[in-house]
Amino acid sequence: MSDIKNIISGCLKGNRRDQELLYRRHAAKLYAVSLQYAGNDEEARDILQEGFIKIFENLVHYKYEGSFEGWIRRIIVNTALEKYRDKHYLYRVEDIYRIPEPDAEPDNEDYAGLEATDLLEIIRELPPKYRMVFNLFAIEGYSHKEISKMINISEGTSKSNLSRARVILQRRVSSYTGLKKKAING
Amino acid sequence: MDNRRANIDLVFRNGLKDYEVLPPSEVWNTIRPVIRKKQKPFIILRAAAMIAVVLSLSFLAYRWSMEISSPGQENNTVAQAPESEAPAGNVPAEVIQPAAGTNVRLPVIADASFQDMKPEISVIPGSELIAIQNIIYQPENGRVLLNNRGTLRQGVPVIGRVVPESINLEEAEPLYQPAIPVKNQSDRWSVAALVSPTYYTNIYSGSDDLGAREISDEQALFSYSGGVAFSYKINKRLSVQSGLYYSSFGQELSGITSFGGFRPYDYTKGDRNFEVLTASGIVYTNNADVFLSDNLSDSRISTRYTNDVFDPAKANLQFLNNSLRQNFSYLELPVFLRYKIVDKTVDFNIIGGLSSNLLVNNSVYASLDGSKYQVGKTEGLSLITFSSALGLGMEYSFTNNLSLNLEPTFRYYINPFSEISGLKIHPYSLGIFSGLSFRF
Repeated sequence: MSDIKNIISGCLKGNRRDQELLYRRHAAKLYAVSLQYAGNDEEARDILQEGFIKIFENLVHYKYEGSFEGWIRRIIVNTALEKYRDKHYLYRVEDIYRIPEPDAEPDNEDYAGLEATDLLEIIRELPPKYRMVFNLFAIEGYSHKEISKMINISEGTSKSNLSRARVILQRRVSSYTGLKKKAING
Repeated sequence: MDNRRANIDLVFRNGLKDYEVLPPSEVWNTIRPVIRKKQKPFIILRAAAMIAVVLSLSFLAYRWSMEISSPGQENNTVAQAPESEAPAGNVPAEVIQPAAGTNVRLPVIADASFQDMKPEISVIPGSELIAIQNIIYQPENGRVLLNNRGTLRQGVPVIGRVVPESINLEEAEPLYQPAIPVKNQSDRWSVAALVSPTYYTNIYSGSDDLGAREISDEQALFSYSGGVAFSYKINKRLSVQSGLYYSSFGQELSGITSFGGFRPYDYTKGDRNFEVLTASGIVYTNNADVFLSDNLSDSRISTRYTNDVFDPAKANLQFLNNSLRQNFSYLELPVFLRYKIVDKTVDFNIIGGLSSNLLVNNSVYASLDGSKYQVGKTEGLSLITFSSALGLGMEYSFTNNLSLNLEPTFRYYINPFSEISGLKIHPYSLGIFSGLSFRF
């Protein structure tokens, strides 16, 4: 903790070494978060860049309460949310994606074969609204009430989006694990 | 079904929990200039605020000195007093009997109300009324004299009586001695003790991008300067000033981690195990017990003990600090000229000149729990450097001999403390000297 305190203190003094050290320590994890929320790599880079600028600007408000990693992650998520709101996803995703129920639910053993890169790839294939709701609910732990306020939708829509996101993800997971098994078995 | 769906949440939450993807290198290059740009206005604002404070203080001090040094302005209140309050024909006063031909000493002229003067006004047989128009104020020496050559005009407030035979402008006794000490023109010498907090930094130019990057990451430490100054007044406005000052300043080299207890692992001869590139020259270790590593860059430290050769974590060395502190001290011998631009109770001077600076201390240390752990020295520092200075001096006189001084001063170092190939580094400093001076 004293180490991060020293780095934060250096950043607040405008010390570029400490700024770079802070970036190098957290950039990889936060870039993964950005990729999880972004539609493409360029958008993820923008989220990371804007998020880090906000982190440096708001370091003075960090009160050393709770984990620093959690604090900077929230800033990145909020930056992703702002980007999402700016894009005004106006189309009705329900009309575009007719999601069939999966034929069979994959079991836990199927999940075990998936790596983080596979999971990221699957999650990024989701339509933006589903991806945002799933990320906020399943990964960040926000409630439907909170999500409804965050992205200006009703609680019912949030629940519905989450449900559809889960269906898509299960289907993708099944097809991924199926492909993997085929590849392994030849 | 719900459980299964919640299960997929866990799969993604746990699977992505510690996932890391290295971002493209250009991302940091786009963040860095934005942060730097956003920091610059703060520096400019700070400097602007400082200048504004100094100018405001100067203005207030000037106004204040003007008010104190112009008692004639207060006399205006007498002159503007309504006639009804001080009728010429109705001077209520006690009658006393002084010796014939004695001058009448007026009470405090600055009193606004004639009523206030009542108890001290004397009426002498054969005396005349004195009008405000016959009061002569001499701004050059701050004295007030009576002139009996004027005639009393109707409607002009009367402030006292005087025996006509006793008044002569040339021989007149001063009626008003100003509270402000009149400076003795013969006090040509003065000695002052001054001290100042100093902000010290560098501006640099050149083609060495790597060097420029290393240097731009160094942070100035709190600096101070103080000493004794002697000055000799050549004429009323111009003085020459010299003296002896001690100044201490330095910078923090962040990102360089230091450890103690390295001596048992030091298998090479000599103490110079590490060299660190800095704006002020190469820092070398002269303490074999110290181990250094750079967390941020592989270009600042030169050593045989690289990470693949020695791991301080495995050796269980004692951690000292995440940064090194580089400190320099100089004895300064200035030769300044002071030109007085305002000569009032608060004097204002323009100060400019040159100073030769002799290096007396050069150390690099790591700070551990408030104590210093000696690491080494900076190599190649010039023993003598020269600096130019420009400042604004404010001087408030308490008495004829004692004054309070406040001198915001900008110093530019003509030759840098050391040379780095491909880079021109121009140090400068800003300080506000304050202290007391004694004239004799």
